[in-house]
Amino acid sequence: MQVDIKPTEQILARHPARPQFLISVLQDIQLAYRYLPREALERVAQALHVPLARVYGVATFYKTFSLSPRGERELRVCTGTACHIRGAPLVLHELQSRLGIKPGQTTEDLSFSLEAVNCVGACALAPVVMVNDVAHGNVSVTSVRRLLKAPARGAAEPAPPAHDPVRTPDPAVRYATVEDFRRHVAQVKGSELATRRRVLMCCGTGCLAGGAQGVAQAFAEQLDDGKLAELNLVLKRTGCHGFCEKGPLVVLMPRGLFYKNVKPADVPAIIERSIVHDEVIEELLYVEPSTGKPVAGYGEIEFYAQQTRVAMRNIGLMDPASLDDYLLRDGYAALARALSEMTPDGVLTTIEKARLRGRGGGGFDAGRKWRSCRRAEGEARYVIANGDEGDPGAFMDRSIMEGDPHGVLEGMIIGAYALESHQGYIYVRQEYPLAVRHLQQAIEDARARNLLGDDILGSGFSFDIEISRGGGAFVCGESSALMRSVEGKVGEPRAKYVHATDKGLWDQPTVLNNVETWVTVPRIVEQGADWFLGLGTEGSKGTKAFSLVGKVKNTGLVEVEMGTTLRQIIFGPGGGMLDMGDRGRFKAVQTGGPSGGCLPESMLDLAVDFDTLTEAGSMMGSGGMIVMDHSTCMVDVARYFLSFLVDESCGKCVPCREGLFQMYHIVSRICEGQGRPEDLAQIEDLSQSILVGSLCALGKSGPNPVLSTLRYFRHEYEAHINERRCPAGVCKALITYSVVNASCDGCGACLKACASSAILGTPKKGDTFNIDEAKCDRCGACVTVCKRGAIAVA
Amino acid sequence: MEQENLFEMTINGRRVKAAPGELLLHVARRAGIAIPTLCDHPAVEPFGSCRLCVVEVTRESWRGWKGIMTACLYPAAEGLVVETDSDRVRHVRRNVLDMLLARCPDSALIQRLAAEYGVTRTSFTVRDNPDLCILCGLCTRVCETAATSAISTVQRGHHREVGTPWGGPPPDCIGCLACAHVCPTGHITFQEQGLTRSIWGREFELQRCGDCGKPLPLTVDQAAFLAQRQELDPSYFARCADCQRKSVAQTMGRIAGWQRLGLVQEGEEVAS
Repeated sequence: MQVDIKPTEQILARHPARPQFLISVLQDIQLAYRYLPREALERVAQALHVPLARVYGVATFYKTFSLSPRGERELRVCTGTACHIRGAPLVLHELQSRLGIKPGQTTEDLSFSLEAVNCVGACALAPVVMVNDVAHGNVSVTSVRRLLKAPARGAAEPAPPAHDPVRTPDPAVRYATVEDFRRHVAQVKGSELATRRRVLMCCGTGCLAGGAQGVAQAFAEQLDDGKLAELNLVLKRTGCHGFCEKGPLVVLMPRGLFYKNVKPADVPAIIERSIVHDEVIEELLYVEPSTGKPVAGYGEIEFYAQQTRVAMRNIGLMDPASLDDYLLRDGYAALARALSEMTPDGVLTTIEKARLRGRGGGGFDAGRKWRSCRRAEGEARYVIANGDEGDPGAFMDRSIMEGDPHGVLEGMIIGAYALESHQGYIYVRQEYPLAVRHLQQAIEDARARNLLGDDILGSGFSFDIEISRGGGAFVCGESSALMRSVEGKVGEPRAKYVHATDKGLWDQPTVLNNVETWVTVPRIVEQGADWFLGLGTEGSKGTKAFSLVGKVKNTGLVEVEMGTTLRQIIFGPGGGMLDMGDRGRFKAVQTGGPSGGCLPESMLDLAVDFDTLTEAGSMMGSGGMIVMDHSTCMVDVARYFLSFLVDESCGKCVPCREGLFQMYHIVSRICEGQGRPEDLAQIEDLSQSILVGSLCALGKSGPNPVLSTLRYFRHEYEAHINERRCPAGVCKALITYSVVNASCDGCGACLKACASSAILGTPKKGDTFNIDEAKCDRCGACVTVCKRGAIAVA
Repeated sequence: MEQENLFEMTINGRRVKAAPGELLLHVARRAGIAIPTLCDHPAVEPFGSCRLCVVEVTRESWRGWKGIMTACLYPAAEGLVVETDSDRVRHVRRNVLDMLLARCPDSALIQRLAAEYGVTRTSFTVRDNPDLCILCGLCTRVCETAATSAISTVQRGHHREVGTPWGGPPPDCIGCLACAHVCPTGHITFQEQGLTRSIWGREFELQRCGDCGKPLPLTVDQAAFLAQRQELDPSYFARCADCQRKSVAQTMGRIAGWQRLGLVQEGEEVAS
């Protein structure tokens, strides 16, 4: 069948004909055709002056791309850590059975594709399945049926906000000078709109998955401009409040009335009772786990009250698509100050004094990095924001990019001023379309008002920012791999013996920092280095945003001062363990993503900062914090992380590509009951070589999950190897499902749920039910549906 | 090597001189110290993928901490102290070769190198259907530098392989054999019969001598590529060595003849 080449030509016409745009072009082609046709790629190679073999290499390196057509409904099951421990493997298995295809395949009629994908950043709603661009949370083995009824792409469904067109900014507002800017800010702050009451409707990815779009629409439909003026009200769609499991969230300000799990049907009551008559609707209030009592005020909820929000200061309190909202929160005041009252060196010195360490995981002193870059020689200097956030279980950066895009921009512009850089890039992972859109809108708006571009605020300083989208590769979170990706190449890291501050993007001096680091910069410039030094510990100043997920009552984003202990975070804002009973007890907390480790109960009083957790065998990393209870098998967790790393390894160097693969083999054998006595020694020996021999941090830190679980949970490994027993009851080869007939009421729900017809018996009270061990594939569907807890796993 | 700016550093206890920016691998070689490599080659930039050339590096300011770095990429520096054969280094090399043996159990080169580090049989799981490719990347890198980037690495992680667009005959290949020449294990093969050379599933016509018609050891595509890149006339590559010799001798004879006839002065330039 001939491929229509017109869409390809249109896509090429939208991009400059240079190799660095290869990945961006391929992404548009993937979206247009649902795969990458050969004819299209041949045309691209020609147009961008890239050898065909290189185009093909890039097309096969990044997971976003497919060389064969994908289905009309692309089902992506998130296999992030939080989703993994909350049942994602069972959901994936169920979808496989129902569709008759394996992950990576498409049904013959092209109606469905199934993929197991990396963390999509909606961890508080685990397990998550994406259907095209829409996230569905809390999916269970029994609710997958609903997913299969989802409409095809392009069919009559409301377009997700990620696809809303970028609004054209109002050309009338443009700041020729700093005075212009300050005058306009005063105007905005003094305006009537600024004094109105606000309805904050969370529209972050998490709440959207819970139906926030419908809630926001209901408010908009029922309150037109006239009514809003009458009620002295504005409606604001905000970014992620970080409390996703309780979403959709609606907060009425300035009173701070906080409503959770709001549905469109609740909106008329909220308007009538709470907005018009200032009454509280009890049923919509959040119930504090520690007291059992409902709490009305935003400020009184422990989850928020115990946080110190610096990086997340604006998120949830403003409309990220509104520059005026950002101005109301003192946005760009720091930039104005820097450009009019400080020299580039003065800004740099402030950051050095504040001892700001990078928030992406490495924790390198940002001031030192900036200083090295300033000293380096080159034709151009580049500034990059790393928004690749690939750690499964982490979604702080998503929330920052979606909810406070101007905060990231302002930080980068200030940094570029300090470094005398004129071009910046924000690298956003493929899986965050809403973040891309919000950043794009912010860039357009900032450019229009002369906060970005030539001669910013009349200062003579010019700087512009471009967004570079990832292609579905965790390794591109590694700074040198990220830079190759911006250059349009495969994401292969390079040796860092020569630093990026000397030779980075296109071999020019480059500063790369995480978005959380950038969003902190304006606050430091505004409040001064001493303010920042007053927060945190001696070695780790300031605050840190954490993604607290897993088996806790309150999953979400928590920002606290460095030095807060694990126990304070998990049992404070976290609200303590989720499940009751023996299996619900705290077992371990995993921090630092695949580079980190698991810490047991005895380590709960460790202070969380850059250095303390590392000594204990884990690391703080980018902020992922996954709480595990006794229903989690630590050997399975090690295998999970190894499988993730094997999937994400770029494959360039031997220790990571071959070594982690072999480790995965060994640990899998152990999970399958085929462990050998010499396995643990071999794992430890191999780990040492991978730790020191790998080219980049992905490989180097790869053995950490295994080594930390071996350090603190060796007895579990030994049980698997010596006794062929999985104490947590997780490893399929080592457990059996059986019916506890004393508890069974004969309802037969398990029979209906079982996809393997492994349950025998007739639904009639008194009948004995049995599970055929040979047919049972331990998918857990029966356990999920049984209301009597009559299925035992041992 | 410039005599100015040389500084001193130590390798295996010996003081040696090095220049700024020199890579440890070359400093060591000059000092007569052999460091094993698999993915290094003078025709291409160092890559750092095989990790075999790791050495242990330290300096006084590191207060006893020693790093494991690849010698092919690490720059020499004043006061650097390098050990090329310490226990830690040998441990990494042993495991790297052990893993490569699991990947390519039939490679004579890997067997030999592994045996030097005490590994005669791999302690890991052998790959299904193993071939001889150790993924050093030399072939793709030399194709990019010296030829046309006709081949590339495809996929990633343990699915990574050296491949061609859609697995078929690569359209940009010129049959120059640079890839086969640099391949350390003999994984890349080619055939030559009569006037045809085949590699990567493509057949190339060998260039023939314009004078005698004998096949030359380069393909027509290769000759055209080289002529274009070196800005030479394509006919430059179209004569075999014997015919070249004859042609030069004839030219010299002609010049002597003209000189005898007084048509040309000795030393005057003559177009050949």
